[in-house]
Amino acid sequence: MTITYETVIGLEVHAQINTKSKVFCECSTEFGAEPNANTCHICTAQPGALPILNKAAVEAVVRTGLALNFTINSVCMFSRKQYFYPDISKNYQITQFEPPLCSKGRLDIISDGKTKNINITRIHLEEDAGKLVHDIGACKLDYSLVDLNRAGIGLMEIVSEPEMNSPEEAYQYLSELKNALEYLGTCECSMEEGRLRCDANVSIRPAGQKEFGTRVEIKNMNSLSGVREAITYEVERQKEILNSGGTLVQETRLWDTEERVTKSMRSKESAADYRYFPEPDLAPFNLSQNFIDDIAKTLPELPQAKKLRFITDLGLSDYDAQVLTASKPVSDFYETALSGTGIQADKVAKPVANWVTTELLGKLNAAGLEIQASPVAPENLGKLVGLVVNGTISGKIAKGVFEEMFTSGKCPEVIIKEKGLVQISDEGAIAELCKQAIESMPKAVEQYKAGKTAAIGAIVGAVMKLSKGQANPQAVNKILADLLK
Amino acid sequence: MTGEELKKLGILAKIEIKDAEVESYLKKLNSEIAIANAISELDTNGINPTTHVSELRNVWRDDIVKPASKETFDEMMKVAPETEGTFYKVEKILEA
Repeated sequence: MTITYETVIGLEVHAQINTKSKVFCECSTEFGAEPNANTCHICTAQPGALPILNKAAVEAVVRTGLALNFTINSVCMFSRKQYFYPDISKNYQITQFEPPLCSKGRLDIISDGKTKNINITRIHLEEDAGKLVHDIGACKLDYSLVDLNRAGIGLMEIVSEPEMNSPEEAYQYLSELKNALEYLGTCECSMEEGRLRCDANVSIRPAGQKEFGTRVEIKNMNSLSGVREAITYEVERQKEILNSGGTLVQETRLWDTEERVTKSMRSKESAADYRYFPEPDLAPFNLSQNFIDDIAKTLPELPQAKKLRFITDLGLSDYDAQVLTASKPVSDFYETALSGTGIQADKVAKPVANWVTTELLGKLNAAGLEIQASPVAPENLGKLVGLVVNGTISGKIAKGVFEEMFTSGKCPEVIIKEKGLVQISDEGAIAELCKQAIESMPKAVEQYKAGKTAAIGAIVGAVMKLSKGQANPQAVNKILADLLK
Repeated sequence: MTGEELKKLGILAKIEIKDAEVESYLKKLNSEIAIANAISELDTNGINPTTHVSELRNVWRDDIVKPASKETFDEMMKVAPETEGTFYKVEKILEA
C-alpha cells in the first residue's frame, strides 16, 4: 500500500530595502560597484565604529507591514546575532529578535481557483552580510575573497507560517509577495541581482498526521521558477526516502541550478547558537501612532485592490484585470495609456486593455523586451487607441501604425500625418467610392437585391480597397445600404 | 556546567579546550555562574528591563549617501592582513 503524503512549506524571504544608503552607515546601496567600493569604517567593522540607523529603512518595513495587514510593534529594539563567518566582519549581525517590528500579517493567494489565506509570522529589520568569492570563472580558488559592498544594506526578513501545501502555492505566495513589494516600492525585487532571496522549509507527512515531518531547509534558489522547481524536487526526494524505508535528516540543502537537484550542505559544526542579546549601540524604538499613521496615509493601491477596481469600475474581465495587475510596470503602463487616450476611462478601458495585453505584450515578448523598455510609450499607445475610438483611423490602420510605432518609437499622429492615413468619414467622398464599387460588382449587387444580405460584405471590401483602408467602415455600411435600397 | 557544555561553549567561542584543561575551566566558570545565580534569585517582578541605560528612543538619520573618503578606504585596505585587488583575502571557507 502506498502512503499519501501531505507537503508542508514555509518560506523565509530576505528583501533588500530600497534605500539609497545602507541601514547603519551612509554608504551607497548601488549594485555592481567595484569590490569594497561602497564600504566605510562602519560596514567593515573597524574598532570603535558605531552604527547610525537610516530612518527610511524603518519606514519601509512599517510600510510593508501595514500593507500586509501586520500589527506594528511600536516598542521594540535591535539585537545581535552572533556567528563567525568572513561575510560578517563584526562577528555578529544586527537584527531583531523578539518582538520584531511587524507581527502576524497575511497575504491571499489563489490556489486551485480558490482564495487561500497565508499567515505571515513576522517582518524584522536587519543588515545584509557581505559576499564571498570562492572561484573566478571556472577556476576554484584555494582561498576566499571578501566583498563588503552588500554588507550593511537594509533587509526585511519576511517569515511565513508553514501553510503552503504544494510547490505551486509557494510559487504563488512568492509572486504575490514580490508584486506587493514592487507596488509598495520597498524592494526592487530582482532575484537575479539577489535583491530578493528566498529560503524554503520543506517537509512531508502522511496525510492526516498532525505532527510535522523532518524539515529540510533549501537555499540558493535565485528565481521564482527555481523556487517551484527546487521544492518539487525536494518533495519527491523526501517521498522516495520514506517509501524505501529510510529516514530523513534535518539539514540545509543547496539548490544546484546546473544539475537541478538539492545537495546537502556540509557544515563544519552543528552547534549553532546565536546568543541573541539586545544591541547596546542602537537606541530602542518607541514609534508614535502619528509616525505609523503618516506612513499608512501614503500606502498605494495594492495589486488585489487594483484588480478589483479594474473589474468593477472599468468593466474589465477577470482575466484582463489579472494580466494587467500581475506586475507594477504593466499596471503603470496600462493606467498611463488609459489617461493618454484623452477619453473617459470606462469608455476606453476595454480597448486599451486589449491593445496592451495582446498587441503590446505579444510584441514585447517576441522581441524579448520588458515593458519598461517598450519602444511604444504608454501615452502614445493611449493616443493611438483614442484615435481609433473617436473614428480618426480604423482599427486595421491602427495595427499598421502600431507596427511603425514599435519600430520607430514615433507618436501616432506623426505617423498618420506622414503616411496620410486619416480615416475618410466625409459622406460625399465615401458615397463616391461606394458608387464605383457598386458598378464594378454587378453580381454581388444582384445577390444582395435578391435577399442575400451577406453579399454586402464583398462590396464593403471593395470600397475599403478603393479607399486604401481609410474609409470609415460604419459609414460605408450605412451608405451602401442606402444606395442599394 | 558540565564538561560537555564547556566543550560546546569552546566551539561557539572558537577557543580550543584541551581535555587536561576542562577541570580547571569548569571550576572557574562554575564559580562565576554561582555569582550570576545569586543575582537571579532577586525578585525582579514589576521592574522594567534596562537593556539600555539612556532614555533615548528612535535615534536615526535621513537616507543620504555620503561615501567614505579615499584615505579611509586606503587605510582599511592597508590594515587588512591580506588583500587581492580591492578584495579582502581570507582562508578558504568552502571545502571543495
